[in-house]
Amino acid sequence: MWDTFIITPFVNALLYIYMMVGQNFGVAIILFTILIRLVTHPLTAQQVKGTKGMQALNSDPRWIEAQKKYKGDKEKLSQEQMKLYKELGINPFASCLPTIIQFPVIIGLYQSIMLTLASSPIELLNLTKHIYPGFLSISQIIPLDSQFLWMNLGQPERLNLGFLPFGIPVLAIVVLITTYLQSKAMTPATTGSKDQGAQMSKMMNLYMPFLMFYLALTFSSGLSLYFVTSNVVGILQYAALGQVDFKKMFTLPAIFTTKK
Amino acid sequence: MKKLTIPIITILLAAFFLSGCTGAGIATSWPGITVTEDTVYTAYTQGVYAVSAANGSPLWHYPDKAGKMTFFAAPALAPDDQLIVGDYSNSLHVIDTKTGTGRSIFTAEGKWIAQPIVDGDIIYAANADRILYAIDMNGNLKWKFETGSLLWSNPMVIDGIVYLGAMDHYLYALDAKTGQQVWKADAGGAIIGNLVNANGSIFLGTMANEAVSINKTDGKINWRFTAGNAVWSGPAIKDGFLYFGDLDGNFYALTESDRKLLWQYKTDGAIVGTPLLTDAGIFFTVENGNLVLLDYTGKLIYSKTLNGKLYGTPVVSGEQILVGTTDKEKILIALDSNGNQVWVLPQPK
Repeated sequence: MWDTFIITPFVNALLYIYMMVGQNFGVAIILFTILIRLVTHPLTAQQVKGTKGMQALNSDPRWIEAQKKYKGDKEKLSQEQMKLYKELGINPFASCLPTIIQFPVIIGLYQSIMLTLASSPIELLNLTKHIYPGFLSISQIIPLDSQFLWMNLGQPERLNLGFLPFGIPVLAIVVLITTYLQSKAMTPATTGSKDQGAQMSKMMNLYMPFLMFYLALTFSSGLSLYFVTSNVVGILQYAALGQVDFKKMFTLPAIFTTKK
Repeated sequence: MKKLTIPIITILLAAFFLSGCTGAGIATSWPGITVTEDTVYTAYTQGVYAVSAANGSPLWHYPDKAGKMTFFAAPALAPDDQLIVGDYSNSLHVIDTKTGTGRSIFTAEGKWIAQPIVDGDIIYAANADRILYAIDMNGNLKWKFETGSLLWSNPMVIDGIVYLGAMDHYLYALDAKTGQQVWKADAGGAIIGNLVNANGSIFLGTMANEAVSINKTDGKINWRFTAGNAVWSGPAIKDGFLYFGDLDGNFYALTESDRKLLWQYKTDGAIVGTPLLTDAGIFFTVENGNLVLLDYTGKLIYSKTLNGKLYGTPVVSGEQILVGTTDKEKILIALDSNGNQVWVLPQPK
């Protein structure tokens, strides 16, 4: 089911783009990621709209007052919250539902890229099973040219400079930076630093880039290329939706700037 | 601490999920098997295993502690009781067959998927970094030859010429002493399986759905035979006849000289390994887990269902047939001539 409706169409689309752009798999990954992000843009827009609604609620004086008033009464606070949702026209699921829908698509995209970058016998056999006969020719696709710029997309990336005894993980560093910037762009302005949600977002903003950096450092650079493209397109999408404060986005987190 | 709980759980879940998606921990290949009179050597997942050919009792495994090296191709037998085997972490190892101690002697840029071959005191090892390396037993590079794509097919040395099939669609003939190209022939598709030498020709299969015969002297194409799907496995040849399977599960018998189709047998799964030709008949494995034995007229003698997917070439060891499997419990299964299990090599715990 997952293979039939997600992975196989994605693999064929990815390989079709690969053939169209002169068998350049790096360009194919970039274009396909952009395409998927564009197709799912209405969901992103809906998510931003929902987030903005939640921001409006958080800064609403009635909500702040209710939080103080019903501090010890969760049931009453919940009733008050529902009332304000109605009054402000907020759908509480508007911000999370698009994310839930997008999630399988993003995972499918990710799995398709990994499947297409087959670098071992069983992986290649699996890939041949996912290609639509008559749509693409296996003999033209294999061997897949996984070289892009200085990278072998099937291997972790390192830029080797003659004067250095070690390779620099350029792409992993770019993944770290763009993941941080995207998470900053996605994080809504919050009412106060003591807000639990805000604290959680700050923690995520801090840890997630390092997790992605580790993945980019360890796994195939084709995956890192997908991370970078997806992050950059994500930032642009949020910017187009008026969600990005570029000045705020490029400030370092408080942990690096606060003097003890 | 409470504030950190949710982010930490989220990150751990993400890491687990993404790692799972990359296939880490999932088999990416199948066991490669090499036999001597009394010992079976197999390279698979995280080690090289030596077992008694008589009863499968373990003798040693290399390395002592399981790592991430992930071996695949059958180890090559070398002089002075040595084995040569490459791993997926780009290292080529020499192992003492008596003690199981070994060391890495050479590192390339890609995985070692093809089985190396030893001719005299030179190791010819094809790497997925597109390069064929000729190195001595101490790992000193003698020469290297770069092709246009990945090298997964085993090189072959005949009369001072190295024959090398590449995924760039070419079969290369190289001077074994210098690495200079003698000729190259366009096979029409990626070459992944083994090459076979017979009667002045090299026979191979391609991912362009063809079995191809190429003149060994000048690289001219003798003939091409179109199969139903990609011919991953190299063919096997006996008494002027050529036998091979394709990824659609078709098994073919052709005349070696002029590709005349004698008979065809259909199975229910991809045929990846090269067939094994014995006096009892033709053994070949099918991805669906069947070991098939046909007679030389294409009539089924038996089809034995084993656990796990079967991709490799069956190997003869004395009176037994050895089959490598991707089963979670087993690496090797030894069968008698009737297809009854004699012993198994279990997966290490």
